[in-house]
Amino acid sequence: MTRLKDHNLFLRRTDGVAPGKRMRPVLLLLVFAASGLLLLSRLDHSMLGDVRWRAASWLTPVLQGAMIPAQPVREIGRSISTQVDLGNELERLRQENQKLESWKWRAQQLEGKVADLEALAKVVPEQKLDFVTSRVISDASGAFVRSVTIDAGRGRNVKEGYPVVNADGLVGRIVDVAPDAARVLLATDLNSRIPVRIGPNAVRGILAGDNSSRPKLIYIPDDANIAIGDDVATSGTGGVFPAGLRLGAVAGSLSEPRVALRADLDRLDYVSVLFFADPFHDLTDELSNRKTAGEVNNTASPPNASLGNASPGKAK
Amino acid sequence: MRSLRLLMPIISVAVLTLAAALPWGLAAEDRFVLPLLPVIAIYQWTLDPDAWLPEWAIFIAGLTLDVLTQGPLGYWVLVYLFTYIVALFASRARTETAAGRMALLAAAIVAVTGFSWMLASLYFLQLLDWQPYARSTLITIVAAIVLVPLLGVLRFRSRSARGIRLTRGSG
Repeated sequence: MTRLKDHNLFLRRTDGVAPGKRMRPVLLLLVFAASGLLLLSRLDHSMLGDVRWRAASWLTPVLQGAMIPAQPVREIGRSISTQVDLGNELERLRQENQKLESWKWRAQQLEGKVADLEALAKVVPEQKLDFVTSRVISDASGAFVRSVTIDAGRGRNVKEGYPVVNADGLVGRIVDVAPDAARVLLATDLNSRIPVRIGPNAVRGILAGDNSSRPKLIYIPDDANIAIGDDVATSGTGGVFPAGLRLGAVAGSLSEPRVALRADLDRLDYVSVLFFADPFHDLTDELSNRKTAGEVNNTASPPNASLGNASPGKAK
Repeated sequence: MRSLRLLMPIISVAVLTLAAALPWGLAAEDRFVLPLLPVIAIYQWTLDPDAWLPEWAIFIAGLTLDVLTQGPLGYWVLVYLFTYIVALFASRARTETAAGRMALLAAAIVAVTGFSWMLASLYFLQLLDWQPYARSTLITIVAAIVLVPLLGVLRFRSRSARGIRLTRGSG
């Protein structure tokens, strides 16, 4: 008769009873499917991009809900980092305030002069930009992309291409829009290209993101006179961004200049979307509309009637 | 209540996956640590033979993160499935002490981070900077010290009471 040994008699709940998990064929299937998706993404399949953005916009309410408990944790983290930097920040602000006091007086003088000169020259007033302020609900900054999702979309008249700013300057531009959300491509993203003017000489160049915190300046003329610390702002070239939006200052080395952005893109909380429509886009639209209308008129009306419709005042 | 217990592994992975996409104010270079938190959960639940965390749930978690982070579809899916495979192998190792189990988890995190770096490099067809990955590995190992006991509490609470079975040893 088998002797019952004490050390082999256990009260067991899991050990030895459950057989443990094993690799199943479904795992191989899922790995194969994931590899296929990755390959399609690498080939930049347009269908994938569309489906991905639609799926992301469906998840917007979930992210908005998740932000509610996450917000206090974020606030605690922010207040801790603020407390740590408080001494340095106070000193920096004190010095900046002294500089700004002298600049304020100078700016008021110049503002008066500019207003007088503009009145004399009958300058067309600058376009007043409308905007909407929105909350950042998801941050997609990683190895592949630098973008954030905001909780304002088509419902708030946000459109693709609109520039996005915060109190410190330009942040990026809208690249995808859903009814209640939009994706902002940050200025640091690999695919971001922003026409800029640099320093007091207004040297033209392109600010090119490379997924690092300091985007690089490219296409600067060889004989360009720029220095470290020069201000960098949008030039307005191409009509994607309005001219004069602050970006940051030249940093790094002059052989390979980069820009230290004013806006802290890692800590975006609220951003404003500027309703800036590309003027060139409107112009080409107007031309194509006129062309189409002209063609229609040519077929439907006598030639002199169609010429009469083309008022010179409408041409931009 | 019973279904909640059953779904606890999936819920915990889903919560950590969603948290990885939220704006926490971390520097972009350090954000890589956030998607590694579900790695800890997947590893721990896979080690538990009673926990129900099917492969398709891991697939969906990875795909959700790919969608939310606007990265290439399939990247985090592959990383999370790799974690699952690593955990399956780790479950065969006999470790009696808590320190041994933590060492095994740390080794798994190193393996998974190494795999994710390799996969990202392969995607871009160039060797990426390994330092953010190395930094994230260290932070994740530290985070694991906090997260593993929390998962342990969930594991304890989610385990349904079963009939105790007497088993006789063979030798």
